Amino acid sequence: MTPPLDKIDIPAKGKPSPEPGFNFAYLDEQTKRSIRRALLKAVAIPGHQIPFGSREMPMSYGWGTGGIQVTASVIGQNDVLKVIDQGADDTTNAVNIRRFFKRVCQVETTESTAKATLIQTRHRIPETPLQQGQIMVYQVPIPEPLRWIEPSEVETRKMHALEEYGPMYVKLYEDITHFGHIATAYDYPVMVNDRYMMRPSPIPRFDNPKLDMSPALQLFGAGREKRIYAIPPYTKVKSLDFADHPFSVESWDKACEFCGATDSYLDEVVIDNDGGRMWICSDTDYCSRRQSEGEDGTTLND
Amino acid sequence: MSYVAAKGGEQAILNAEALLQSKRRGNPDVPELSLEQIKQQMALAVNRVMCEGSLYDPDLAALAIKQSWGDLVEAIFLLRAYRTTLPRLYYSQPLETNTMHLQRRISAIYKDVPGGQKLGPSFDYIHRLLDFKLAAEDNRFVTPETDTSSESVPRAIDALNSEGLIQLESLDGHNQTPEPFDLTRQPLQLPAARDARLQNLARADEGFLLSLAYSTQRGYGNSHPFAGEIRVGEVEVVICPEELGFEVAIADITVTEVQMVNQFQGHKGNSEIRSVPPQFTRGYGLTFGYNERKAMSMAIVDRALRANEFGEAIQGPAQDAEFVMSHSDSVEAQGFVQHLKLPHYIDFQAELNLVRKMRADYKQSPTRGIVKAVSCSGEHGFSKTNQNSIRLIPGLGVEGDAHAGVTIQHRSRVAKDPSQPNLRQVHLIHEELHNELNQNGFQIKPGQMGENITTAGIDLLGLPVGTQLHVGETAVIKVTGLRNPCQQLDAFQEGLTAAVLDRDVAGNLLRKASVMGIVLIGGEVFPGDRIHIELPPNPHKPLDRV
Repeated sequence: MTPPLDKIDIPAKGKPSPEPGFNFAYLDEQTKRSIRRALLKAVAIPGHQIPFGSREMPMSYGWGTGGIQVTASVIGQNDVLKVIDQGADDTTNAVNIRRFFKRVCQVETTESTAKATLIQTRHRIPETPLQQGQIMVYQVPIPEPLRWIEPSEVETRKMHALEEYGPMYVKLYEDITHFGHIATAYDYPVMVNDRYMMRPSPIPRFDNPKLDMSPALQLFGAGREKRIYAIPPYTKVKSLDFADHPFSVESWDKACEFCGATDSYLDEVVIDNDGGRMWICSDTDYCSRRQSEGEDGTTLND
Repeated sequence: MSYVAAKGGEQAILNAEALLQSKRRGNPDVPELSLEQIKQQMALAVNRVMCEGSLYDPDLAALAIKQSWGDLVEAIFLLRAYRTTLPRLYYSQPLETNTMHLQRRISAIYKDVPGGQKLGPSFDYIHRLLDFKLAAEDNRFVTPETDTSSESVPRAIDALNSEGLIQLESLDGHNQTPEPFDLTRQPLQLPAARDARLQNLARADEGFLLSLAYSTQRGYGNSHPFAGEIRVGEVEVVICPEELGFEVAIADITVTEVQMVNQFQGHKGNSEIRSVPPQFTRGYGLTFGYNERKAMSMAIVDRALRANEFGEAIQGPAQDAEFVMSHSDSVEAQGFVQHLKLPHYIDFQAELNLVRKMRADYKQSPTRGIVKAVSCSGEHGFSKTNQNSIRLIPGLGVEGDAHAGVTIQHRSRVAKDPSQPNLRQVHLIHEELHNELNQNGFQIKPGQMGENITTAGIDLLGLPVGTQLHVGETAVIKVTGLRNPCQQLDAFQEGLTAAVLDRDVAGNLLRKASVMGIVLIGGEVFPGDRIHIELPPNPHKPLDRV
């Protein structure tokens, strides 16, 4: 369902930020406009990398500046922002980015996936299914899927233009001959809309199926590499594979120690010096929601 | 829970910041640094921060240095992040560096030049002796009287121009739009024109450029530079706002300009390339402030990056524009290197899962073995002689071996049907069998039981039919079946036949001797070669007599 017109959030124009001396969402309006132009191009050509005039941000390159600039360009006063890192709302980097937007936008923030209109993430897609009208913003370290095969940008641009993706399939084939299966655990390459090969950012391959036909708009920002790309809602996203070696995701023979979930991505936590381990949901919101709904994992595991 | 401690909250971040501020200030009994002190007494640090921070503002640069606890890369980052928030109002007119008010000017290519050599304040000829007097405070030094004439001094290498001995600077290879490329607003796109390259180099990390320039001098893309001219001084910055329609000087800034004179170019023209007589080429460096080492490095790297333009082979990293420009920026580099400090436990978990799966697969099927010995014998007999190497021939077997052939060569089989295909081209025994037999009192060495290849580390008998053994560099053997232990074994050593036969729980006869195979791909096999097992597609069929 599309939100009613009066609920659609127009990005605030020239509104002063709560932080004196800085514009709303830190970037000046010209810069935001130039980034939104790049975003529109990216949505028009799903999976294709669009160069943009990335700026130095008050956080280091490599620490989410691409995602931060995308968020800063689309955020409006009525947005509800969620920031996760490793699936968790309480990791230092997530806390820090949320703190930054509170400081320069004073928007409402949330830990609930369902309540958020805008979700910036590093390394995970929430377990709770995304909805129409939501925007996912991914932080991208290296946008080019062919980079480890061909270091030159000039060459990889040509390869995308010619849809010359054979070398990637050769690499995956070599994995199969060496290891018996494709040995890529995260940042697993996908084909978007049957045309462009894309890196989904370093999410575990467990999350790849969530990219496909998602009702949410998915935006990807690489600040240091100065590239933006996008997956519009309801776009086909296929993880690379072979007919006789179909794509598969990892599974655990354990359940979350806290909420008993068996369908979520589990973190292995070392709990003592004797190699003791426990497994818990990486998505803290999903886990705490299940706990408050009365699910209890401990009985399941014992 | 202990895991919570691994994650940090907002309070932890605030505490870290407060701790940093207090540590940075140090002992409060020691007077605090003033920005004016930094600006005056650490001027070269201020210059570097302004240059790589892309912002000419000594006060802000001094503040950044103070705030960054003296970490210049961090100070450059601070200045850049601040710069993001500033509007771009005008582009200046090109700087007229030939009208520079000179503090220093030297040329290494002439003994004397019009306008004269001027050392200015320089470390160049200072003996680098630690000055312990300086450790004391309240030092006073007198400025020597120098010529302060401000008339404009022509560039030293312009003398070469008049003879056409040096290639003219032109806008060839620059973006031809009316406005210059602006690296601070536009993404760098490759291949980049020279204006974009020079902007990138001007902001580049000094250490990175210095090392690149040095590498060209040591043979990684040599362009034989001479310091044509180095000049340091103040120039006027002039803008020409459209709404005014006339030029306005807005500031005097100190810059360092370096022009390198490099070895020759020129060629006799063909239909495509214009003929150019041999002449020197140039590299150009310009930095904010007194930043001479950086400006020299920049000029050398600029020249190295023109390799394409001059048709030179690209042999060193300093000539590879994509490599240089993608890795030159300290703000980008420090961020990405240090981002490894961020939590990566999700991806690490995915890698843990993967490596555990790979290890489980590895344990399940020991896919690796080694060749212990190779043997071959030209005569039909029981044992074979050890060799330094054997050569496998596709479809035949071991070169020079009595059992090599398209059709069966083993005499017992030939007697039945000489036309049947030879599925016993190569004979393999696992060393573990020898060891087992020797423990039971036999005396068996590699080759003596008639095998061509003695293996170690592979359960040969457990392989399914059709398994391919990749041996050594190229050879591939396809396993066809089991050897049928016969009385010849007893003739060799008494009781051996019985020792390699067994019965399973169901009472079926088990043949424990050895396996046979055919050569799919030929090649030489040496003792010590690795053996890699490629299992056939499912379903697997156990080996049987062949």
